[in-house]
Amino acid sequence: MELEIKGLYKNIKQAEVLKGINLTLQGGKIYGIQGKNGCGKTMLMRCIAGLVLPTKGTVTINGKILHKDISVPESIGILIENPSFLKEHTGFENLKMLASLQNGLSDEKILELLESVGLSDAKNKKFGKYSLGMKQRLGVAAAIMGSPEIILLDEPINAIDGEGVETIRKVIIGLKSEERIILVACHDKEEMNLLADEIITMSEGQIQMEGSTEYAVS
Amino acid sequence: MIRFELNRCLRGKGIKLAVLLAVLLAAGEFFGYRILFQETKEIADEIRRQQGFSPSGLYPSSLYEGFINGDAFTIFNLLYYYLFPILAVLPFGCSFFTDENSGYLKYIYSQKKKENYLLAKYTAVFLSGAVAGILPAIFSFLANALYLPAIIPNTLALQSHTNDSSVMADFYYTCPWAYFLVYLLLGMLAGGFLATLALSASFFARNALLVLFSPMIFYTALDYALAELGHSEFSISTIINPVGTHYIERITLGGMFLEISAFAAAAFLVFFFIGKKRERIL
Repeated sequence: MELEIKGLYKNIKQAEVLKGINLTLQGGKIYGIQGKNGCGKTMLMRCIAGLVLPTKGTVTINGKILHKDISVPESIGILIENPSFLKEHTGFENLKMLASLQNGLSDEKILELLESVGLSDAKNKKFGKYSLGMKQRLGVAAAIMGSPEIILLDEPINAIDGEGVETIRKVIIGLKSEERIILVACHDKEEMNLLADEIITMSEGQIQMEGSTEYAVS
Repeated sequence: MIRFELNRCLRGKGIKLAVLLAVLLAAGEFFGYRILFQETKEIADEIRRQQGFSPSGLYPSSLYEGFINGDAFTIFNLLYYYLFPILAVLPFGCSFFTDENSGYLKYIYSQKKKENYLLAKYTAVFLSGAVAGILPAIFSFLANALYLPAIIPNTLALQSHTNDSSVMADFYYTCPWAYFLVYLLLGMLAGGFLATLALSASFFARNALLVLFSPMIFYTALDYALAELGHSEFSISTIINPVGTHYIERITLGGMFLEISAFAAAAFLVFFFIGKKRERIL
């Protein structure tokens, strides 16, 4: 599994949000992205997910260029910005509907998934009634549903309590495999060190530093 | 993808609201026609008979004159066709606006090709509008069929709105079910178009209410503008209402279908091409 980003630029109106990103991500690792608000972390994730068209440059997934050879990444799970689901449906129903977009998933698997993120008690509660932390947990569940090859998690532990953070961390680490790239953006440096194998530091739309967690910390 | 969208539509609140509104309209018309028209007419006929006069309407009321599409006597036909755009947009018309503004769209766009989603969304919204638009007519037909005979209307009974100048008047007095079937199809086409108009409105509106009312605004504005220009025959509200057909001497049946189909095609093109170019991912 390989994801290669070459000379990626993204302009929104007059503003350059991404300025020539070059990055290669390999399967089997958890990558952490850090940087100040507005440095381009979320936009980079949107470009990888194929949600926006790059102004210049390419995103290549397993040798296939996004928006050229493939319209969307073949296997991806995302949690970008706020978890947004259908308010009038329960957590279980929301996951079931999203699963139907990707060849479906059995009810048992969905229930297992909800249990893994600590939502088994709230599976029949409507999403509109979920607390912020519960919404975030459901967002993580949706992102990892179906074991996708690329998982993008933007602030996955936002609004989650201490115990929940540990649960989510375990789930994310448990997903690490050679066939999978996990990219996590997180403001909590301590958490990032526990979670990531490599840390990418971004500033003003560019990559400032890239390396192992120890290197980034030092 | 179409199944996914239709499934969402069927599980949503909007479809329940549309059914409720349709039931209220049909029930209102049913009681209105039964009580206000039929019973007062029977009393009046009895009085005339006792007074030695020939009672009017010896020919019994027909189902085709008594259900909401053919009823020219109570206010419910007018109310139905006034609320028609709201009814059409209620089930799923605002869904694109909600998908985009809630951020739900990012889950779909990360899994499926944009074009597939837009096409599925248009199809599901069109179908939901087409069905919701004619629900009061179906409910009203079923309710009135319990009491009124499905006999062919009679011109001499003077209980029908349709006269010689009406579109398909021959059909009405020979094969009324076919007459109303054609209007049902026109209603479905118009309902589908009006619901999909809300999709295009989603690109420009900042508020879900504006999206909900955008087809109504278009429908009413077009009606007033055409009335001012002396061309009411092209108004959608006139075209789809079987009671309003005597206004439309200058348009053929084919013209009626063509006009609404052209509107629907324009709504599709606007939605599809703007939707494809748009990058508003929250």
